[in-house]
Amino acid sequence: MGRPMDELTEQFGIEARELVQQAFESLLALEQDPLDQRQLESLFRSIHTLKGSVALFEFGPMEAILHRCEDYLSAARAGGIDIDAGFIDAVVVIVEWTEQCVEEIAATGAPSAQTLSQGPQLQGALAFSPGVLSEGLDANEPTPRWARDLLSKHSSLPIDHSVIAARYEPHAECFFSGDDPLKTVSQVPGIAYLRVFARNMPEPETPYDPFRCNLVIEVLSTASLSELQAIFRLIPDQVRLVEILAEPAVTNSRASTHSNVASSGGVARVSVDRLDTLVTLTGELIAAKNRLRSAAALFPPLSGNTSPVRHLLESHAEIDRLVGSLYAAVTRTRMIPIGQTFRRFPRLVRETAARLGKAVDLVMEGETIEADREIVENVYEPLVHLIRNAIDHGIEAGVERTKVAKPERGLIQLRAMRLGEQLRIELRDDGRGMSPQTIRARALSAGLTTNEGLDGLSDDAVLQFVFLPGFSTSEGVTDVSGRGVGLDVVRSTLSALGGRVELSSTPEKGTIFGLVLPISFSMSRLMVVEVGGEQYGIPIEKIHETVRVSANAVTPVRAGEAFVLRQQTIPLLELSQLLRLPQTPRKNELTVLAVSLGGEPVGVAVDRIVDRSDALMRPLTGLLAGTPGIVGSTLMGDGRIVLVLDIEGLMT
Amino acid sequence: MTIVLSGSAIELHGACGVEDAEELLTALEAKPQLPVSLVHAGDIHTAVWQLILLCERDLEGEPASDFAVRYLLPTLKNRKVK
Repeated sequence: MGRPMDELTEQFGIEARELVQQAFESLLALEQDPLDQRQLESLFRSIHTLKGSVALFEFGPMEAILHRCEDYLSAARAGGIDIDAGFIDAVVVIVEWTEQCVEEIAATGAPSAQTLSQGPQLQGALAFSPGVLSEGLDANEPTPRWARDLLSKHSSLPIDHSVIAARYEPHAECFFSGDDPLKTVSQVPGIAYLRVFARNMPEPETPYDPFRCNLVIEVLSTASLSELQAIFRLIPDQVRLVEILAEPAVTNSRASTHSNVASSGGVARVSVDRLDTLVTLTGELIAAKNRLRSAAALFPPLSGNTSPVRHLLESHAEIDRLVGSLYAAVTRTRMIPIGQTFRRFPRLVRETAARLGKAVDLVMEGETIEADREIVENVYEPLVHLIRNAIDHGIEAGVERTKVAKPERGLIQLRAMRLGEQLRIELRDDGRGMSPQTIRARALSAGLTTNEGLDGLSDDAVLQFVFLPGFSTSEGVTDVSGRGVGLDVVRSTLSALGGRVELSSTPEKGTIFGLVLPISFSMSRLMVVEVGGEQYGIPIEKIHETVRVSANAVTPVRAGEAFVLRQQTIPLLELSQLLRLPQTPRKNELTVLAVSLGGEPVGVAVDRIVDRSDALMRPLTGLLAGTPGIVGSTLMGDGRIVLVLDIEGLMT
Repeated sequence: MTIVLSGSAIELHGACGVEDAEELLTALEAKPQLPVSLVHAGDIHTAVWQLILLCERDLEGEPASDFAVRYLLPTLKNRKVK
């Protein structure tokens, strides 16, 4: 049963997702380089912090299982477990289960009983022998009671600093070996606390033997683990060293649950809602600014430097400049690196390839390039679809690849580039590519075109059929892809984000998808048109020109109409028809927008052009997201909300 | 090390090695009421510290060792240190 979501749980969800992601990244890096101690430490810290965060709540066996995983990683850090495929798989299973729990916590406030019940079975993979306790590290109990107790005795330690707890129990006969335990301990640097006590209280009836050591020495030190290991290197069997890591961040956030802004090192975590509010307010300010210009236009034109209209226009220009700066600043706060989406793909590639029995490498570039949060997050789904397709249908099986002199391991390259105000994401695979002949045949059999329709189409143009709904090149439905969700969804998603998708493919060489997106939802210049009594916005860059065409100049061509513009016959479409609105009687003179479809000019008739203005365009969200033919909405100067059309999408 | 019975204390003088533990034990048994003075002590071996810890005598002064003063004496703070 879910618990009411409080701010602490919400904060936990945010941080736990990041930690899970970090853990996956470390695991993937360790899979590539099992000797990378830095990644092993990072993995350990992620799990340790997760465990610490989970301990603040009551999430059933989650804490115990993460504790077990932490123990396992401790043993690996001590060199007692090989970092091999078995290790990676064992930890991946736990991290995946944790991820499932975290998602359920984020959704309902608690993990489901079903998920929790699966946890204990997963621990079996984390088996290791207690014999691995080397170099004094206690893998069975990485934070044993004595260490916790020692820490509690010294509360002034900085919480952001890891400390080593050392427990030295000298052998009873150690004095005969020449040992001077306290002298050894005196060499420990950074002692924060020390205590010495008798292991056993002397019995009154037994004579005291001054040459038998009966002490336990416990130390907290801010020195590194390796420094202490060096000091105690000759007596590892008598010393236990435990690294006590800094308190997890979520513990700190508990102290400030009334604020959802946590700052660290000059970076503030601000809720997305607050940023969205800023963007919305800026959008309204842009609309208000536009109204000012409209208001100025109401005054009769007056000449002279003292004209009130002139003052108004000067003020407008100043506000225009300031609003532009404000918009740029607000936009920057929403920018996040594309790497935040890319980082999820190594795991996807690994899992998908493993499920299909293929070996695939993923190379990523340009992860630091930034784009609006909404763009970065929403491009994830289309990329998942394309990557799965590439592994499932593009990359051949290893045997097949070696036969055609390709490396046995397939390669997927994911590269982000910034081109002016656009983000280009290129996804290349070195698989079998797409055959235009196959696509022609599929398009015909799916009834998407006719033999006549295919006549004269170039191979590149034929490739574009893959973006039509109902098109599939896969031989059969697999577990990974080919479930009926086609590339048309990729195209419509990109379109909804104000972008487009390009495709080129060479048989036997591979396929390249290019995703072109705006860096941010910039202030767009829109042409507002009226049709059927409704107003719509169209991005001006989509319109080549506007022309007036006499109704007499429109001629029927097959089932449609056309007109001649500069000696070229251009198809004419009615926007009202494209939007399925009631048709209005045609005037003697038509207002036509010249746009392009697949590189060819097309005329779109509208009732009238209302305005051209700057507007902050936002993609549609919620139920309206992905509505075909609509890329977003914008707030007009008079407060109306106008839908912005994807004119190309409407025509296809 | 030299153990000096001053009349008011059992005084440790100079560096105290492991062998001095036995001599200190004898002195402690001989003078069960006297405190132990560390004022003149240098480095003190663990065997001697162990005896100081377990005998629960009052202590006087501080030894020369900075480590002992900073970390060991505070652990004996339940003891009266004159």
